[in-house]
Amino acid sequence: MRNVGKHAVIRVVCLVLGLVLLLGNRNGETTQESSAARLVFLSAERIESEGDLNAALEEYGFLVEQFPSSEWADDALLRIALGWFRLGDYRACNDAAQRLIDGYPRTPSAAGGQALQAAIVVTTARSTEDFERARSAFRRIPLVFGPDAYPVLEWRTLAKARAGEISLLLGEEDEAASMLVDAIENEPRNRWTPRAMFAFAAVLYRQGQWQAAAQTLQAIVDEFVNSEQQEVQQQVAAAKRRLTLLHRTLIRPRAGQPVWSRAGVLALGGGAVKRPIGIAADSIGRLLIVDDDKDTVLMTDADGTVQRRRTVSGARRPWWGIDGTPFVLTESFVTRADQIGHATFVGRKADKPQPLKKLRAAETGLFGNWFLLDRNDRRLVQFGPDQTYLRTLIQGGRPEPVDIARDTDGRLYVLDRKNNTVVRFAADGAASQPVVSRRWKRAEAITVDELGNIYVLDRDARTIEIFAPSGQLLGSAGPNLPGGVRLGSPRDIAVDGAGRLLIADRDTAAVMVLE
Amino acid sequence: MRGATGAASRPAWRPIVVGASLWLIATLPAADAMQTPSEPQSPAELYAQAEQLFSSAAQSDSIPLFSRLIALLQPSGAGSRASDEPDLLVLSFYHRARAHLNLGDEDAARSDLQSLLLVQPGFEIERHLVSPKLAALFDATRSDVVGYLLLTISPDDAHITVDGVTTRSSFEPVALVAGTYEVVAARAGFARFRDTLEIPAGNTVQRHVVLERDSAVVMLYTRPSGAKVLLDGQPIGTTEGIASADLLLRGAAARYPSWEFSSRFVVDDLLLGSHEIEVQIDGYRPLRTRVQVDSLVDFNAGGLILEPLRGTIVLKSLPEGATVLVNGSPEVPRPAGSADTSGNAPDAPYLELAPGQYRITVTQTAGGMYEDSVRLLDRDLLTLDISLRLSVLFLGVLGGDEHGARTVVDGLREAMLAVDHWIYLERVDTDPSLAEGAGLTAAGLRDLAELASPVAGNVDWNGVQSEYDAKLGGSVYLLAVLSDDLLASHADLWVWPAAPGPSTPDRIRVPLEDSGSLARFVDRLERPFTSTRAWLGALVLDSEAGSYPIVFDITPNGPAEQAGVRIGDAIVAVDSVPPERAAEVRELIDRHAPGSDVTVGLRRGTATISVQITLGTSPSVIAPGDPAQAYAAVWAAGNAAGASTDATVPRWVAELNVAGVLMQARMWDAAVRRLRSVRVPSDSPRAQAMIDYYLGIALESIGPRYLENAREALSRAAAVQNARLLHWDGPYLAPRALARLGRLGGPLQRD
Repeated sequence: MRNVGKHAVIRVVCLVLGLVLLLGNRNGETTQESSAARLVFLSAERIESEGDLNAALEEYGFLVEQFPSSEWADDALLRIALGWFRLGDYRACNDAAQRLIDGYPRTPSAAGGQALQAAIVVTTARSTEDFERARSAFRRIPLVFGPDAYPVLEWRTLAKARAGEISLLLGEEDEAASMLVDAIENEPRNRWTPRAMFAFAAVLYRQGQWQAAAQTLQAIVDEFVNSEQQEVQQQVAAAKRRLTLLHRTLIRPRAGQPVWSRAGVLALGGGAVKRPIGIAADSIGRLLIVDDDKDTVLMTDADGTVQRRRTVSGARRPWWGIDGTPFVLTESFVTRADQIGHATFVGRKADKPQPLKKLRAAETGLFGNWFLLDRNDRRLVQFGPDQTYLRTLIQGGRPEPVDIARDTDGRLYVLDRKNNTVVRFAADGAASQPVVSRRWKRAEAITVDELGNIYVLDRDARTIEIFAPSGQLLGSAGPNLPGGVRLGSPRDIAVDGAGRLLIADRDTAAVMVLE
Repeated sequence: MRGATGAASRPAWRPIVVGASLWLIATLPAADAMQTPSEPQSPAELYAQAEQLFSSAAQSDSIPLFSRLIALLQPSGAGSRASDEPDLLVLSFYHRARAHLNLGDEDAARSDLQSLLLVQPGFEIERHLVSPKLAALFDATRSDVVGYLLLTISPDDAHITVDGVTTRSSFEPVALVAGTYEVVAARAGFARFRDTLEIPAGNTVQRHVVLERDSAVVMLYTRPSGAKVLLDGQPIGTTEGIASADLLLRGAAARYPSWEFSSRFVVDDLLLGSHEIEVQIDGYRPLRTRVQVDSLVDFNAGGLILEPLRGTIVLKSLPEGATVLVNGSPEVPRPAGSADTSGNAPDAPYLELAPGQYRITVTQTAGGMYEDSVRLLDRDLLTLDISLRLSVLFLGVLGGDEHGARTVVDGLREAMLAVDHWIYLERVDTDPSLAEGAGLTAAGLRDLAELASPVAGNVDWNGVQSEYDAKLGGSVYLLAVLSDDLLASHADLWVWPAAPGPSTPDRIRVPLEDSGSLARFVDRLERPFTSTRAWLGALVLDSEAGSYPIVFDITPNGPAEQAGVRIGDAIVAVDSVPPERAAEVRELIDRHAPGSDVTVGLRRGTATISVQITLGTSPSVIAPGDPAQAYAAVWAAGNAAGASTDATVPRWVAELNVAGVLMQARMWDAAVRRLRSVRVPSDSPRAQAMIDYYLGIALESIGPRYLENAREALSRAAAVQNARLLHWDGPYLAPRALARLGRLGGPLQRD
């Protein structure tokens, strides 16, 4: 209500100014319009910073309607598009961006509009063709808004960075490197530079240039550690985590040191677990924990403080979606840890619909696809974003898939208990490739870190082994952990962006953490 | 006593007659005008008309005209003078006398001749042109009116006046109208002679006078003229005029032409004893001389040369080709070894200047500038050790917040005291129209700061650069713009180099409430001068899995490996300082000179060990695109180092920095030319790889025609193992080169 009051006052002021525009002589028109528009823009910006995005969008809209020829109009329209993007209304975002591109085509804001449209394509992508379309859109931005006319343009850096990221996802590493180096070296430093550097580090790592990758990550930390911009801070934190992960999984094994040197019980702020059987961690260390006692699902922040607690009958395995959605799997449906409601899946058996009722593990893929492990028929089934059946990837016979994981590129890793292997599928589930082969007593769970290292829990041996993306064994932990802690009955594992390993150990009534 | 005195030793009227006749011919009216003569207006016209009549058959008609003329010219009373043309009066009397005599009126003729001689007693007729009758009448009349004085004075250079009128000196009789005269003869050093003499008509009075010596005199001439002369401390006169051409000068004075000296000045009344004579003139050293008068004679001091007040400023180590400015005006120093006016012969070029406060500026196009303010006294011999440094010319603060402006000015002044490589010169008094004319206004630059492009807006940066180069000639220019006219929160420092550096400025924002911000800006200015740095040979990075930075990689055969450092080691101390971040390790290492030893504490597993690392030497190249750099400073430093003969500075690093600035300014052609001219040591393929990498980027940026050349350069760079950018521990070069080659068709294949 407070903001509404402010709006009224500001609008009255602006309308008075508008009246002056109409009645006054034409010489002062531009200045007066600019002043009034600026007033509205600052008001909207303040409202936005106070967290009332909808009210801010309304205010920006008022500016665009009343002062369409002012120097603030394109900025306001861009803020509108960005706001709709944040709110997830991609249609409204796209409309605003298009209006911006059509109405103010030569402004830097128009470059932002094009970038937003391309970002919508990425976010809603359902195929590699969508990614390619988005990449083309991003690539077009530097061509339209070249450095001769726009020497300093942050959107151009973002466009190059995003094009490089998409190329990386598409497996076109040379193309990715080219775009990303262009963004890093040919553009002035700005808030999107660390994003390009982070992606470039990923390319380098993928190309086997891990030293250069690590050095690039360190450069993000060194150059941007004092930035106050939120997106930059996030990137710096991600770089620190990635460096730590590299240290743990690459440097320590090379130096003959254990991957983890310390173990302990995870201290949960505001909660405790009695029989943890499932765990998932996202990049920044947020956790989803399934407690078999009373079918509880806990969601924590990166500090381990419980943010949400929900009871889900029959909860088994949790996971984080690509967009950060917290999912929980039961034997017969998927639900979210932070919302009421669930989704069921109907597979095919002998070309007849068959609901899946013995689910064991699940993941969401790069294009919104669902991948579910059905315990009954020992099969891995792929569903579309709307839960329609697409195909069965593994079925019957010798394989006994027991767990599934996804890496940052969307590739799937299936742990096959029967064959004692880990099989890797491409992001679209099209091809498979065994990457790890090992004699485990009872392979139980798998997770993959952001470098593509694979972690396998052997439930009976009470060990966790870590393998490089090539399949090479890097190290192991358990049953006795550093510090003398002994694993009881580990049921699930997770690894966060910094390589911190978390073990849901049902019998010790704790989540163990290895650092 | 008669008031009118004429003195003539020989007929003086003859040239006057001839001259007047010529003048008359030139001014004769035309024939038509003659037929209707108009009333003459001036005495000369009247005389001409009268003389024409006198020479004609109607000579008698000239008499009224001469009478009218005489009435016009004749003095109205004793001592007064009616006309500036006494010769016309004399001639009028003369011609009227002749006309009267020709008409037979001898009395009237005599009267006219008498009047003539009263005016000019020395008048003489041309006897061969006149009748004997007239000659006889003239002689008789003169005998009645005129007498002669023949006065001989010893010494003969005495000054003689008759009734107060200077007359010529002795040895020739002076014609005077008979009567009583006061005669005075004076000469310095002698008692004055004064007497009253009766000069009878038709007779000559002869007198010989010997003046009595009563004092000594000193005769002198000064260079320059206009000097005040003091005798025993008392002013007695000022030298003036110009010495005669035949003045014979001796000694030092003989070096100068006589016309540079004053006319003779006589110091009189010197009694026996010692006297001090001083001559002085503003801007010159006073000249004092003591005269011992033992006898009353004339002393000739000759030409006295007053030396201008001068001090000497020796310009030690003045670079060849440098321009010297004194208070902003060019001045050519005198060559080393030549003598100054004080007799010094400095062994370096020097300036001789009048006493005063001076700003001595020395500039050299690429070498920089030297400036100092000196106070010079007469006969001072100051030595300035000229050491050129690049100059930062502070042009002032735009914006109305006086407190903010003061903060900037004082802060910069204080911070610049600490710099080694720059000379900081405040040019805030530069003509403000220079900035305004170029579009440099507070409002304009504030708007420009908000735009996406620093080259947008209405500022002609090329013009700005040219103007200030022409007017001030600095290495780097600095202009501050406050964020607000009332209460500024920050200032934008706009910095650009002199041509041929890029005219596009750097803009560096400094918060005014942050007291260290200006010092940090000044640090940036110093950074480009570091062309080498210590080399560790290890990739040290942060890890949150430990408390200390971790050694991620070791350069083969590098300093760290040779000291026993291993991959996975945690660096727990550098020179006993525990680093928390990898950046701190680099900072601690950077404090060491290349080649020096550093003690590093390592944690390896559970053990802690200490190793001593002898650091290597690495180039230190400025990173393009780094917002923490002031590229104007990089340009100036690189350009100066490139032109320097200092062998301790790796020339290729300086050249590479300059090329980097050109690339930063998108001056691709210039960058390519510069890069192609860089010569690196033949045993340093890593250095060549750096240059090839830059060259590849620049060639690619020029356009499609050079893509193959770019590909070649990048392929060469990518092929060098362990090549790094910027320094030997810098970013790995090959992956970047390969990345750029990705869109050029990949690296060239070599056999």
